[in-house]
Amino acid sequence: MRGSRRRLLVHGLVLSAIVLATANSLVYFTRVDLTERRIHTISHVSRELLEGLEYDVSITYYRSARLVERFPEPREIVDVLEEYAAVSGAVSARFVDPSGLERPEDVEALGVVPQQLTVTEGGERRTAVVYSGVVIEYLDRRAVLPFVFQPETLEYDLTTAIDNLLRDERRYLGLLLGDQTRGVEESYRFVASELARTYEVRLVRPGEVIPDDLDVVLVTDAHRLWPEDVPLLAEYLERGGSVLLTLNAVEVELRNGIQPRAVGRTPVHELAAMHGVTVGGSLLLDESHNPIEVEEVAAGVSVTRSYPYPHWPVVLPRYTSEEHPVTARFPGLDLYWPGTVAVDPDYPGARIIAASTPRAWLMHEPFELNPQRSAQLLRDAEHTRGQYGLVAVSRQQTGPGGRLAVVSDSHFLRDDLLQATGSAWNLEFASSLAHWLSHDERLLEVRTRASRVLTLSAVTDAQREATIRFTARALNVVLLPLSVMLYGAFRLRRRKRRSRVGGRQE
Amino acid sequence: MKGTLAVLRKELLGSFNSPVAYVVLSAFLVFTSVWFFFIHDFFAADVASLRSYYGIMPIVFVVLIPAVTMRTWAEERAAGTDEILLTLPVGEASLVLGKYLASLSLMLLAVVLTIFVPLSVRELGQFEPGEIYGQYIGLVLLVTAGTAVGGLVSSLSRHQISAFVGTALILLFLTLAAELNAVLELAAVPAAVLRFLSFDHRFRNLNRGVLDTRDLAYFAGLTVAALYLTRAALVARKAR
Repeated sequence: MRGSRRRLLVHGLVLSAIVLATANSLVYFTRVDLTERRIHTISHVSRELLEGLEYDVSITYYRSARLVERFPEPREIVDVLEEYAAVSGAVSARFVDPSGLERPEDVEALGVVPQQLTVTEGGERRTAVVYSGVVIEYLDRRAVLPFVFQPETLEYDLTTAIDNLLRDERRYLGLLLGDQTRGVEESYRFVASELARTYEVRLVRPGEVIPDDLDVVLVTDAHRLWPEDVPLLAEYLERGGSVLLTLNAVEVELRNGIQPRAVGRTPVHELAAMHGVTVGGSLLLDESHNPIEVEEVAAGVSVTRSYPYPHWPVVLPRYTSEEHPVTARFPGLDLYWPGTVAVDPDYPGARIIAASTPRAWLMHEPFELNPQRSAQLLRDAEHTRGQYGLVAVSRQQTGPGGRLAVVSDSHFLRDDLLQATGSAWNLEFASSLAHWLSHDERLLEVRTRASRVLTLSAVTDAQREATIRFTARALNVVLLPLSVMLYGAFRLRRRKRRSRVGGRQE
Repeated sequence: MKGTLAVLRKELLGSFNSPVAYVVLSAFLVFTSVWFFFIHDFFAADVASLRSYYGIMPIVFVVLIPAVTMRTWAEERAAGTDEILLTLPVGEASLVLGKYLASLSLMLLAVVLTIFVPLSVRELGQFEPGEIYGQYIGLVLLVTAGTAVGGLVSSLSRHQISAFVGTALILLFLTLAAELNAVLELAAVPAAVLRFLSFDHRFRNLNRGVLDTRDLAYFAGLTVAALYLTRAALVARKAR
């Protein structure tokens, strides 16, 4: 009796030790992301934010089953959200199919935006309403990502949204249009919507004193600002404000055909110079560039031809500053008829963060923009070949520490040009500049994840694809199980034969 | 160690000299492949990921593991050979470990044979290799713990069929524990306990390429506890 009690005690102690050791792992644990793209690794900025949460954050991902069945992206979005929940016990992630709710349209009241999806069901093609939106709740505050479908940028969106909820304060960005004939809706819809992910975007009227509550002011076509606006900008900078200037060396009017016109020196050039940034008056052309499509009429037929166009430089990551937070994770930047910027070596806060290749060259007046006259584009190359600055930043060394960024091209955020070259990364670059200017460098560290093709589209030859499919099915469904069975039969038969032989010998 | 190896060798020979192992392995391969290529229709789904293939494994193991482990001890008991076994000059721990490793080897062979699925479709898309490594680590952990549980149930059962049913029910509970939350709408603490116990919940991390030390500790703890209890059951029987 005593022995059995002792045994029970020993078993109890051993099992308790095992349970305790396992429970201990709940406190001291680590997670290793085995994926090549580190898709399940959350940046330390997000991690710190989540670990410092005082109250619970509830994340609800409303995604339609129809979307999940047809696209792989919602699954990756779920992965990212689960990772957020894994980092901090204060974060909970829920996944809800709105079609399972009593009133699916209620999610729209939360701010989730419905999308139309063409589906074939029961042999019938029809349009279905689908959702893929995230609602984040913290205390009585709520943030909504109305439609998410890009796992690559989700971490940034989530962390920014949670950060905004924790701060319980809005961040404001002023948009000052130098060219009043170009409205936001007409020309800057993309950038306004990109910046609206982080900031409340307000339009600043010409002649209006720039309010101090603006975290940053983006000035488009700065060379066309009214002269009286420049002192207002200077004052705002003096008060510790931050300004992103985009300005041209040469005015190119697309609405009436390409007509180059030198901008000359304007008060805004003086303002930049006061902050250590000099803006050149020549056009920059580069060996690294995008093509341009030109419509031509040949034998009465209109055709579109693509020409190499050095006037549209592509800024390469290796010619950007690795140390500066804006360009440390540089995605890319496409410019259109840019000029150049240089920094005053005597102004310690100014530096170039993006430059052309060393094989770039300048074009002085008269400007030749016609892509079909390629020889003319190289006209001044021989004497001007070299590397030039394209984007400069400057921070005041004394006083409240205002920041200035100058991009030598005001076209780079225009909707029509972004669409022509598919340059979505320009928007990301503008967003990064805005973060740096509004002293939010840490959010820049929330990297954009490398994307990959998620579908089975690596083999383009239909014949080969069919062969691979057939082989995979045949091998795994028939050949492999059959081989196992045949091997077993062979082995058993051999054994039987041996035992029969052994029996006879005996 | 010698005793363990001797038992392992005997058990492995026993397994591979019986048609059951080949039938079980073939059935496993046919079922999982048919499910993946025809029922789930991997090619029509058009996603360069094998999560749906490996994701079904915890459920398949609910049947496969008992099929492999049911005979471990229950067969000896039914045939009356357990008493002879317990009198052999081999310690209980060696007996338990040897039989466990034999069942585990068979299960690992089943896992290894699934490698032909990723190999045969890899050309079609950009599969994430880290995800596949995680899936295999997950499968190994699942069979390691599941086989230990199966061995324990078998050591407590008189007949193979009761060992099979008992193991299947326990594995079914462990696999779907987290899903019970959704059905029963439990309070936070029991819900957390069920999540903690859930094989499926733990495998989900590995199935997407995340190695979490909490999952490793859970599977290791469960394996050690099940093996320890199996040995304790043998010792108790020997004492009787």
